[in-house]
Amino acid sequence: MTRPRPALLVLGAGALALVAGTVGVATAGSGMHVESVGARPAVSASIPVAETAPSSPDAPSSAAAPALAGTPYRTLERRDATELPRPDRTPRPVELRIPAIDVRVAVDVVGLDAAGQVEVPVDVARSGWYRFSAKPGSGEGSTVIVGHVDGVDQGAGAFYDLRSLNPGDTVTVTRADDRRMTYQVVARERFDKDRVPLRELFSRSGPERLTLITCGGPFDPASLEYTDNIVVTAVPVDSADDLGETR
Amino acid sequence: MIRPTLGRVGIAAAALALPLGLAAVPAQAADMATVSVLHAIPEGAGADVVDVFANGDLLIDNFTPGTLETVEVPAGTYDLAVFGDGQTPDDAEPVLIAEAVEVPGGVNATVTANLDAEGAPALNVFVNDISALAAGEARLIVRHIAAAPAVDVLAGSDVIFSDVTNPNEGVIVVPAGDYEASVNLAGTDTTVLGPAPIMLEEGTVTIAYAWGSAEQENLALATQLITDLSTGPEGVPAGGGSTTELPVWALGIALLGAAAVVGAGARLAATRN
Repeated sequence: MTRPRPALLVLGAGALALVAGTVGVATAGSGMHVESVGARPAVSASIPVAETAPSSPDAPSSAAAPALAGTPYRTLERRDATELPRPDRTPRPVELRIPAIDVRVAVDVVGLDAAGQVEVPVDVARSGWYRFSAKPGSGEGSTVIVGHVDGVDQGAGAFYDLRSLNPGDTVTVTRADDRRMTYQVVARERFDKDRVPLRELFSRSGPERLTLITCGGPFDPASLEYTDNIVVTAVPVDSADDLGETR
Repeated sequence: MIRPTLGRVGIAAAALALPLGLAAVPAQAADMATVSVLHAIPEGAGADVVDVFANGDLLIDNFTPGTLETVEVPAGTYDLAVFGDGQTPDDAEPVLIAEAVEVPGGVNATVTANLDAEGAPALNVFVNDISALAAGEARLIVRHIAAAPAVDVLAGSDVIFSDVTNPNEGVIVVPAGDYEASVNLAGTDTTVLGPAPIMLEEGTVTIAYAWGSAEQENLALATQLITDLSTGPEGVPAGGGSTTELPVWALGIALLGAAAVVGAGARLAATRN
């Protein structure tokens, strides 16, 4: 059995953790980075403001914002409440490709373990789409795909090289309906596991984005875990062209 | 003109009792409140198009049955009044009123204009439980605001709320997912609504309203969604030794951790309702 990380790196990470103290101040509100490249799109915690639809043809101008002029009230949304939230039939992701690091892996569906943590596929050569996150192409929120950096008895995992991705790199996700969604990396971050902004990273609201998560940093033999999470955020590329194949 | 007594004056106390500190309220919203208004008086009951006023100012214009409007208002005390289309406090008497409704900062509430159990128009105020949800969870709130007798609410064949009467509610936290919802007359197998497929999305409060009139045969469901309340998962253990084999002592520690989390979850669930 080989420990994947030499003990020397623990010292290195200690130094990095000190640096994080200053970096973290500059990024308050988005968790404490150990290190970061690029920036994630901001996610607002407030209720999204929807358009106010005129309710009837005989409501000339008063149905819109002017109705509230001179009052302290602000209309957030008007909607037909008689439509029930129907089951979502959007196809799930089945394959993930990251040409820059020669990754082409199957995407399983994963949920939560008994401790409330995300299940990560036991096979380190596979990845997992967190089933409570957004589906690719849903237009809103974070699509989260997780994968092992490695396994003691399996060697390097699918996401071993996530640490070397950079803003601008291309990521593609293929859905069960064969539709391929293309993303561009905008940020790579490393967080101490106690300081990962999980709520933001997993939020189903805010801009549509792809969030790839694995482990990194020093290996803690007491917990049999790495101390950090590496998080890569990518945003959809307007063109559906398959840019990835040529890289 | 109908001027019903307000049956839910207790609203102020209920609102204040909410654990607001736990609620996912944006910092700047501490002195603001989110209020939704649901028009749940069926067509043909004299309220097909109405205007809603708050403290004499127009709050919602041209409001029609089955519509939900959400507004942000400063915290405070409000006199709500519903007027016929185009009428104002200056030239007409309201159709419905609710006086001195206390709206604390940070609260999320829904006002329903609906029929009471006997079929008379009424205003009810409900405080929405927007406390955070653990990963994988959804909150379902069911409100009886129909001119109809007591009902049971079922998910599949399981009764999740029994003997719910107008204007009361049931609140439950369930695993997020797809359900078949139906409403039966209390204690019977007589289904009056559904079964209807409904998705309870993770981190979302789904409020289902049974509205309309049994006698008029226009009972229906309406829904309101409050999203983005999930705390997210506890973590992502994505590397190292935890793939196939674990020493016994490590497993013991993991189980202790899981037990602690489950215990905390049970305490949370117990204090929610």
